[in-house]
Amino acid sequence: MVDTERLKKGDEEVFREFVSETERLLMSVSFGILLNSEDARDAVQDTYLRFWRSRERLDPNGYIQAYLVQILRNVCFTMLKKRANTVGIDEIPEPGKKENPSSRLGEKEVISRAMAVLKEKERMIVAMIHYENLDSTEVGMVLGLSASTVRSHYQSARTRMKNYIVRYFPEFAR
Amino acid sequence: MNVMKCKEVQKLLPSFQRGLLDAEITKLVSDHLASCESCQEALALEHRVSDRLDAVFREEADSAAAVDIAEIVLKRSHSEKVSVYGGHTRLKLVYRFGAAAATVVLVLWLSSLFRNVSPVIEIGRVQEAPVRTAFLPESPVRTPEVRDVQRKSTVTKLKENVVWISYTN
Repeated sequence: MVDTERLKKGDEEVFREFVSETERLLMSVSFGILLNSEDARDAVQDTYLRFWRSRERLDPNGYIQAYLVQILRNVCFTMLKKRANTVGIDEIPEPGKKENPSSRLGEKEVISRAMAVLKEKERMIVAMIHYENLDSTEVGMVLGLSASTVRSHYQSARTRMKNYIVRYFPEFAR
Repeated sequence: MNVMKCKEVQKLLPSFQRGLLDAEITKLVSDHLASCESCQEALALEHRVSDRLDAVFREEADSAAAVDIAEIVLKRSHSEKVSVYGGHTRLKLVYRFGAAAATVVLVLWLSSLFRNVSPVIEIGRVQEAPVRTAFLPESPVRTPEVRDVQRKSTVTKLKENVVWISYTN
């Protein structure tokens, strides 16, 4: 557990420790929401920076991971909003060309596409479970949900992903 | 009695496969799986999806681990501090104060400008007639001061909005 009092006083050593304890969790959530490594890393850095700036207001009784993830979600949403206004050139579909999703896509791309079908909360849960290997109780603590709610989100997310893959990438599911 | 149907089982397979279910339900699912081929197939598919998810995230984790986030964040925070206490903010404060002062001066100047405005009606252009009458538009709020810019004249107010101008020379 992190020493909140020392963190509040600005102890950089404690902060370093805290980052190494939590960075995987944050990366998982961030990548889960943004589905892009670079953006995910930027979001995590911004999150820690905000956290560090406002460390004096830290609640020693609160669940610090949940607080951190809340900051991260805000950062990610801001990024998503910005991104909505700027679509990458390769994301603009060529007119007249019918998309054929199954054409030679790498596994990573297929999984990313299947993840993109999910809702943001589902993506976070899938990411935390597969990236950080958390169980449903731990995920629930971070997101403020019960373990059974997490499980049911996870189940429906995985079902949707599977259906998407079976439908659009049948050779992948074989 | 507690025999699960395929549909129920398949719904639970992702959680089952990740070991997220309670012991009791886990047992029910494995009992069903032992005797149901189609559910076994479904489980195999879930395993494949899950493995690929793991692989994608592992790749992300590896590339992210190469970066020392704490160091970057602390550096960014230090450079911010320098700018916060090192005059940057003070400069900003000066700007802000200056802008506020300028606004106050501007407002005072404008209000004084408007206070001095009294309805002056200037009758310009040469006109040879010794006298002339000016009809003022709409009765002004204050008594207008009327003067002829071209020549010396005396102005007599006849009515609220009519003046008599006679030229003195």
